[in-house]
Amino acid sequence: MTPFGSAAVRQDVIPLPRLDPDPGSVAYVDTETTGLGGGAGTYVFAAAVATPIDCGLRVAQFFLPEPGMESAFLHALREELERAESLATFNGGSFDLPVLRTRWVMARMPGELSHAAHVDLLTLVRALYRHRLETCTLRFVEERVLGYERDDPLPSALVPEAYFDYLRAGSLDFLEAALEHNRLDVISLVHLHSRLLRRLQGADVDMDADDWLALGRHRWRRGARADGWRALRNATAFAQGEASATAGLLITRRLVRRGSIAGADQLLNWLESGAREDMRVSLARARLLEWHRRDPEQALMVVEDAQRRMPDAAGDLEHRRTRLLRKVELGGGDRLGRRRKRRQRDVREVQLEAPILDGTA
Amino acid sequence: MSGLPRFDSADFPGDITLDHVIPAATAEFAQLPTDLRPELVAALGRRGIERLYSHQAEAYDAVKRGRHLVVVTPTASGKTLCYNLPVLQRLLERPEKRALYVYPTKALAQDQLAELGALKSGLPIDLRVDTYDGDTPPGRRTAIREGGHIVMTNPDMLHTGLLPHHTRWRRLFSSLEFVVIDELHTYRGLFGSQVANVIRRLKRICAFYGSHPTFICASATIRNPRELATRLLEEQDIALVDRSGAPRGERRLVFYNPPLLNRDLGVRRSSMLEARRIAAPWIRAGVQTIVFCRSRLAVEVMLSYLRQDLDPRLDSSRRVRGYRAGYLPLHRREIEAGLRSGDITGVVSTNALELGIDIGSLQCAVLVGYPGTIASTWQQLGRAGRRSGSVGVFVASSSPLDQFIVRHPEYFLGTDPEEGLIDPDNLLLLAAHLQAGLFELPFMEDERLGAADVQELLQLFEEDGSATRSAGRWFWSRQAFPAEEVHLRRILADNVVIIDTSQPRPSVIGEMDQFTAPVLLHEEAVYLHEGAQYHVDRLDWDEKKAYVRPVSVDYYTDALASVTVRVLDTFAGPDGDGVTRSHGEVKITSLASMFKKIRFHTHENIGAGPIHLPEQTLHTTGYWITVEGGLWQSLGAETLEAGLQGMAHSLRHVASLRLMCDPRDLGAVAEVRSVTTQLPTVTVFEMYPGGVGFAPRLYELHRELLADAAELVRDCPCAAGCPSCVGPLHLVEGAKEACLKLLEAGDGSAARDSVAQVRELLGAAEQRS
Repeated sequence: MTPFGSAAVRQDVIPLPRLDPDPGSVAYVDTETTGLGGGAGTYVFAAAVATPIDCGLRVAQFFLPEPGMESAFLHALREELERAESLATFNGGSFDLPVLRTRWVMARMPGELSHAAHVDLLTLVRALYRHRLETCTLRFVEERVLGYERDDPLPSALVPEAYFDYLRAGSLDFLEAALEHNRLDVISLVHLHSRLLRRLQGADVDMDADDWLALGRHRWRRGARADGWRALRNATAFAQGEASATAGLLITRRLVRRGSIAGADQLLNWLESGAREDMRVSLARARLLEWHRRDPEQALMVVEDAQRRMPDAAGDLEHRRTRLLRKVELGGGDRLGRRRKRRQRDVREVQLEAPILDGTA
Repeated sequence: MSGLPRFDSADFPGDITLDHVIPAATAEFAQLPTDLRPELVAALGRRGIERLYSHQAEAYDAVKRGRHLVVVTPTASGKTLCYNLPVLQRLLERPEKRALYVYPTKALAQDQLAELGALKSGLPIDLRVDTYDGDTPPGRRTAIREGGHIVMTNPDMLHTGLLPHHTRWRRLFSSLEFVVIDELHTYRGLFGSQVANVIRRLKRICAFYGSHPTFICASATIRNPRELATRLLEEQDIALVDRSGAPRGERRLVFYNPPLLNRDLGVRRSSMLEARRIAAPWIRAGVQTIVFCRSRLAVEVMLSYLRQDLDPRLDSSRRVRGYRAGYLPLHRREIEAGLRSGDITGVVSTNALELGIDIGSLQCAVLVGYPGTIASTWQQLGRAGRRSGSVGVFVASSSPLDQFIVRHPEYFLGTDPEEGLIDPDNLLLLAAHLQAGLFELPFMEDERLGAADVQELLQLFEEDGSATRSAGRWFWSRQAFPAEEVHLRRILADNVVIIDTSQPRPSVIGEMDQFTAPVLLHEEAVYLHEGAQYHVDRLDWDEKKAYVRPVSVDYYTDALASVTVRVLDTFAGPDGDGVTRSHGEVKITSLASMFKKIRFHTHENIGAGPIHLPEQTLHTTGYWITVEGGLWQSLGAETLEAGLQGMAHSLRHVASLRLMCDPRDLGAVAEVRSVTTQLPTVTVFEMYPGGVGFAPRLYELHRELLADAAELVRDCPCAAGCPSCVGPLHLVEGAKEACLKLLEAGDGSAARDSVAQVRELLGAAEQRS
């Protein structure tokens, strides 16, 4: 019962295997709506909220029996959500939550969710698994990441129609299937979250270079530099392949930015031994020689060598080659001031130098 | 006239049908309002504004008293300050308040953003003014929604962007104090009827958030600004400010009709070449001149002419510029600035520069062809408005409309500029916007959409599943996003798109309604577009695409369509003696079955072919005229048909003049024996299904229409009828005579004394301009 009349709610506690790691007090939310475009005329007609509790997983489902009863529905849903410390959704950042906010405005209810945190699992999936997935629909993620195929009687695209059928003709044929679909979705989110946390901690087994690279980039973007660094290093530990080269180059670039030219040198040596046919590696070497070692002659040799080995890409290097040629003719182009600057950098280099290539997982 | 740039009629072989000087007027000033905030006074002072023109002060007072307002004053009279002043004053008093500015185009909003930016930069508080349209980067949108004090947008964005997502705009809608609608006169006919419905929805959303904004409209001169605003806004208490206090230099207006080349065909010397001869000497002499052309193509051609005519030592490509839609915004800004600074001497433009974009005042304006409405003509002529004096020349083309106007300057000067007519209750439009409105907010069981009763429609929606009734309200119940299914500016959803395939990248050069397309765009047709010939290679009817390529051939095609009119319901009439008038609901059926190829000049038939396209039907409203037996029994069947065709042709053109609509918004059919009336009948009908309110107006204008049409035909210099006056059957012997006889029978009045009328009316024109 709500101040707006009674709301249609049902709940259930289902067994939940111990989650490792345990995400803590999170409410998982999934909504079913009457359209995918958003806007004031898109209604939320069903919502499922899953909350892990001591004895299992509590799944509460809210249903809008007719549009005129929206206030009661929204009130009940909000009370449920307010109990949790944080929220987790799948694409909620750009869909479920804005749609809910719109509904609260339409119902003239205070609409801001005051949770400390919201985790959008879709964002995480995209960051960590994009390279493995052709699409990031929840169904596909379940299949490829969680490893199970759901026997869903109703594809997502038909869910709004199931509700309209019910509204127009009172037909329950597909409505029950739509609600079950909603329930299964939210349960999946709980498992998916745990799985994603494990991946974030780098504790997943069988991660390959691509996985580590994705993880490293993600952590780095989120400001967890040390973790990002570690993950990228782990990616480079895989002997061959584009991903490990990419990770190596990212590290090289960061080493150079920190002034650790010697470290970058060392890493490039290693990359060159593994990925000779990777133009990006030659380019990084040429850049290092030209701008940081101030050695246009060597840089020119690297460029010309790369052009010989990779004739397809030779054109892209031509501009650089011309410039280097000019520099060599001008006699190195190294002026005193720059030399002094470089010497200063060398000092810092010693301080920051750290073993890079050991300690991989 | 020493102050005016030179224009000597002796230099030109055609007819000068009007040469009139409007004397200069001095400014009428008013003091700055006493309650104006000191910081605003200071900001105005920094822009050199120490006092207001009288109309600006009047506008300020009206808004201050909480009235809705329409301001109607000429180009460059400081119209924008009429709304910016009260809005800025209010925002300074209450910075939490909001204003929404609606402009018909994105470019205009951009221009006004710059203008307002200059004024507000002098203010001590930080007022946020933004444009919000399709070009607004996603990253800035949230900030504008939350913090924009003044949001400048266009009706289309309001329709698909703001209203359906109003919850995101809660901040704006709940504090909305002003809605400014500039260029009100553009919201007429179909577009106006659409926008009227968008405004109904806007007011509904405002009411939901508890705001009741004041509407401030600004318009170019039209006959019925207050009436148009009343219909568009559905507000009763609307103040009208239409006396300009801005000063004006002396202005000379000239109408020029190029000399006839072929009397039979009514072909005259090219208006483009004549305009070139007029404009080039001015530009050479450094007199700032604007040339208005009817199409983009014409702009480019005229541009190359004028550049050739300039001394090659001068940097002609910099001194003479084109300006039209399709140029990049930055490019356009640069041209506008060049015009203001005087670096650019000549500009060739489409009607893009007719709207209030600030380019300062030029000395001369040349209009190549009639812009379509009197209001546009004044707007374009108004671009030349130097305090030191200016000249505006209208050069007529051979088209019937141009010929009518150039031969009847008294019509131009005397007729008040056209009326803005709208019919927001057109059932199709209303239904479309009701769906959009229902998406935005549920409807109560007794609620209206604006003034329209929509309960019956809502019940229909319930039957087809678009709406659900629950707890005494109607709810939208489809997945679709209804606003996206309605385009405010397109006539019909299923127009045929005309694609020029001659370029490496095929480009769309135009579109045509489905009803007319079988006649003009059938395969093998020679289609005339902006004066150029195109051959229709293929017409894909299912995809609604016509593939054409430019050609130069010595024939034109004429498709025979059997068109029948069935009257479904008569709303008024028939009344009148001999020639009767009626209006009502009609069903038009058109079947094009074959076409002929006809050689120019000789008019011999050089080929024919079949057309295989489905029959087209159109349910709409129309106005029809019948002719009683006594008037036509003496005419032979063929002559009667030609005469009726002439009536239909001329009536359609003069009707579009009176209604301020595009001639293509109307269709006309002549039937020797109508199935409904059993008499010779001419029907003028609306091309938009259901009509937008033209038909009842035509019924009211019956006598004027017949008189105008008779004058058009009578005064045409052709001997026995030409395409300009009586249209397609002009070759039938006696066509012109028969047509005139029928028209005059209905009009009843002899030819009016045009000369006396001109004199009388020139006074009226002076006041208005």
